[in-house]
Amino acid sequence: MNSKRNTIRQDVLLCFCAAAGEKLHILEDLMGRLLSKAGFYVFTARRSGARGNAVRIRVSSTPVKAFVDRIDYLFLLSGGLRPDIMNHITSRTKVVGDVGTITRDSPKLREREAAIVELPIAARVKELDCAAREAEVLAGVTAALFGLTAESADALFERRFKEPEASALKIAFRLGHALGIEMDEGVLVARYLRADKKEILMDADTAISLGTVAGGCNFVAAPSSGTLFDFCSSRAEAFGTVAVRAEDRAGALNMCLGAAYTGARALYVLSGGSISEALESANLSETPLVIHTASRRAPNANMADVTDETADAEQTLNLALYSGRGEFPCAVYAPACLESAFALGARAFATAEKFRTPVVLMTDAHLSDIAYDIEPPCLNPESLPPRDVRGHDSGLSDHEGKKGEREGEEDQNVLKGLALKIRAVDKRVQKFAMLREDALPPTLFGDPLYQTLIVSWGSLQEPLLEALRVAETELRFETLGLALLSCEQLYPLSSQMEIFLKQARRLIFVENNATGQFARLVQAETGCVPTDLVLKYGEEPFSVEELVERLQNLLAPKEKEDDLPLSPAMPVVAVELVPARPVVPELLVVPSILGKTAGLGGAAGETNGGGTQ
Amino acid sequence: MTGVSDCGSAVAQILEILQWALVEADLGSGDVVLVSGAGGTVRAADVPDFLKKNFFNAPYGCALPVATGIRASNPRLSVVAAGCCGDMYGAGGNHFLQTIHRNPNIAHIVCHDIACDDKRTRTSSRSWGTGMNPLTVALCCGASFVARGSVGELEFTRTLMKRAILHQGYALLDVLRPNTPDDGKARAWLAENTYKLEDNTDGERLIDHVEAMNLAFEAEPYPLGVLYECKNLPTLEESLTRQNDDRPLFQRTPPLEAIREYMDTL
Repeated sequence: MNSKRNTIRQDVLLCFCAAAGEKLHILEDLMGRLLSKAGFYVFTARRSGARGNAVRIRVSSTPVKAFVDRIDYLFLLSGGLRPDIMNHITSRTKVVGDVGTITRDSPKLREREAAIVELPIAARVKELDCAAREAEVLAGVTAALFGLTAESADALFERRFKEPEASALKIAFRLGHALGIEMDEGVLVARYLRADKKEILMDADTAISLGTVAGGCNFVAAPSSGTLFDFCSSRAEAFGTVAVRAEDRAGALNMCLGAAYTGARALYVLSGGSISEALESANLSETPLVIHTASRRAPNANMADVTDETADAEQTLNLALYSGRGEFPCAVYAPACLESAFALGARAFATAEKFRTPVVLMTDAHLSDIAYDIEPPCLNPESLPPRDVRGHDSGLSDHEGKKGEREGEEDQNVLKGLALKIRAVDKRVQKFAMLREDALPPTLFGDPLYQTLIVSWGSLQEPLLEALRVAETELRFETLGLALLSCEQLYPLSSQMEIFLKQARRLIFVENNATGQFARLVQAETGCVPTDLVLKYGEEPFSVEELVERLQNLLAPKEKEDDLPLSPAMPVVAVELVPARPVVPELLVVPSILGKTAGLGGAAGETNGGGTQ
Repeated sequence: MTGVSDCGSAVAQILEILQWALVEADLGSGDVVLVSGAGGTVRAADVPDFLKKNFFNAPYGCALPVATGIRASNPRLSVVAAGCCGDMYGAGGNHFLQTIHRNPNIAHIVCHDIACDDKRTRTSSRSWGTGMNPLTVALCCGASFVARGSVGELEFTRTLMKRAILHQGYALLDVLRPNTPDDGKARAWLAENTYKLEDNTDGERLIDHVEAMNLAFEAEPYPLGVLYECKNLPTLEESLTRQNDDRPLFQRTPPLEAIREYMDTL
């Protein structure tokens, strides 16, 4: 029923689809770990929601870190394929599933000339009469396809599940393994059986959580449970962290402020909006606070009725930049890959402590969904900045970031004079300049003698790098004279940014939003005008294929499109940048007349207008 | 401070109660953090001028989460959250409920404005500043210490405050304050409308929820004293503090070894 394939490929893309509620993440985790341990390089991406779950696993003999549209094997756990999956099915796709499951989609699948492989999964599970799930059976099938043994998952099952369940899962896995052997697909991926493969499979949330804890984070408060919060709370014993679930955002924020006041390294985790108060409070009281805005798929006010999966993605940059009443210094980091998710998680705490200022750590939904093999981050106990700890030694402390005796400073609280206010603002403005000196420079990839520069920030670095490699090997467009500039510190921008940008004749900004928020910021800060914007917004991340396509349209527009499948119909915009609103000039002007003597912050109590009944 | 002890100046009253209680509880000035909400009776700007303590002026309504955060990260500090009823029960209403539920070891003193002029009606928000009875709410949520004092009974309220500070767990002290500038009128109203409960420090009544609830519902006269006290409820800090490690968070170093071990399991 299926043709035997003996071609050895470099990487294979598996996709698992199930109805909403079915726990594909167990399958994803299991397969990822198994294949990674066996010596493959693995990339996984998940998508869940009310319209069904999908997990993609990319298995390769070389490191893979980006999302591709192509699907080689589609495993169905339930019928009714989502359109975003269906669009990527081609004649090169093999659809594997139970006889009953495939029937519902088979007309559409035949239309797309996909090969269909029917496996009697349900019937076999019934014969066994155990509480096995089809997900584990499919895991067994997959393991067999990659040449793993039927016993390969035993240790994992034993470690994670209690006895009656573990045995059932083992049986299901073996059952699937036998079916996989029957499929007889040959060896799918050339495999380097490297006993010394150092890389470990890590997902973004784990990377960021471990990074923050390594950076000293020991207090987490969040208004809702999230992966980062759960990570710290479930490992509180081992890591010595304190995690408090708050009633709402104000509760979480103020717990963090209280904790930071007593010297804890506090992390305030929230999804998207309402960071304005956090920035104000932390800045006014000069509290070192790390704010992690983890954009995730969640209903939001604008699109709740349309879709349950609106990704804030990289649309929140402006929020981090311009929130809050007043002019506040604040560093904004957005990890570009999982390695730097770890590093920036730690760096955020160092920066916050060093400048006694809030630091925003932004991750977008596309980054949160993925996991891949990375080298274990090195843990160097580098000296963390010394802390100003309240309630510890003899000095008394008020909440305004000042420590010491209060005698003789009659005017400071009751009579908040004009002078105090000006000194406080001056101090904050000085911090802008200091943060800028401390800023992370962007990373340049590609031809150092570039004339065309592609600028990206956040999670787009890895897909762009792979897109450029694909373009080079497939001769899609000329990569000589082309380079990629990946930015991880978005604000304040490093002074090197300008130098990099000025070398280029053509500036292409690639962003996951509709208006090019970073391009506008860069233009305001450096005066460098972007020539082209490659933007995408919506649920789907940029895939490698799509980036190749979009860049080719810009860089080699005369060539006609070839047989590569077109990406699905997401709104595709490539517009000339015309500033729709005036950019903020001279955001970084620092008055030079000010000394560093101002020792006072503002007053957090003021932020609510001192309301009374 | 002297000479401002009339009932109309609640800031002074509350501060006087606090000051005495903190001295009596034998707490050094470095061991205490006073967390206040902005606005209302215990004004954010006023506290540090009268009390030589560590303090944190939280935004309006947010004193309790700040106090919780402080206690959770350094259980060696004594934390007192002080504010007015609009701050603590109104704007901070949900924080109030959730803090009681978490039971951090903090003392919570709230100056509760109560209208005492003729226009007052029992059901209007004029009679209960924020339109709620905080003592019944606290009891319903499982508060481990619930007491009421008044600015007309300073001595008595000070002892209540001391007990609240020394109590292990969340302790609410609601201090009635007639909302009138006329001192004589305020004293008269308090004399007529409040009465002191018997002082039974270890009495059985104190752990009787139903009895406490009945007392909390009593009005005109309002009972003053400790309505409920349960000494053995687990506190938030006990559930959070790492076993064999009661160090405050600022003394802890990054757990690099634990991280390495975790990464080995990946």
